[in-house]
Amino acid sequence: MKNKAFDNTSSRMLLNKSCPLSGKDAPKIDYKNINLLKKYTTEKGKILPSRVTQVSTKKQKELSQAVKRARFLALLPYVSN
Amino acid sequence: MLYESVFVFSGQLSPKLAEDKLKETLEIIKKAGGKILKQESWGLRSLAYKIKKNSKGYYYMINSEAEASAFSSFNVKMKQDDDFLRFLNLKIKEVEKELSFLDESKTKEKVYEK
Repeated sequence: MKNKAFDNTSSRMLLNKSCPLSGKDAPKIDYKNINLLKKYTTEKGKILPSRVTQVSTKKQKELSQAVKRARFLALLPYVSN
Repeated sequence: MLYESVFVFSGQLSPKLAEDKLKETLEIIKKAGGKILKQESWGLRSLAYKIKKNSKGYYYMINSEAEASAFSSFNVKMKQDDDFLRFLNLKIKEVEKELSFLDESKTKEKVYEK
């Protein structure tokens, strides 16, 4: 029998090797695009780490800036239970 | 300089009063020599958290060409005026022709689809 943990990591790496927010058809990161930002935050409202989402460093920076702007405008929560 | 500004007014106001508030703020920008290039209404939205005991707010976005000094009074106003909940001002490189994701016409359609 295979090790489950090993299976999970390998499949994640195979599926998502490149940044989903880079490239030609990638969506624009914008504080107004709440649906996109919600995909990169946890249920509690925390920003997901790039090592989980495979977002590039450059895009992760833009993403965090956008989330923070959306939070200020109360479009996204700082914390939600 | 091109700017994108978002204003949030208290949801306890009537739609008319909120419009008046917006006009007031636009007047301030115009008086300071600014030009309003684009105006969007995002309608009455529920806030992600309470601001000054409000759980809803009227959202307006404008794109303008103005001097930075035109916006200088708004941050003070945000603190003093109970109905002026939020003000966000950003420099932008160009005015987007399309309506943004949150414009009322778009968000209303989505509700019908569901």
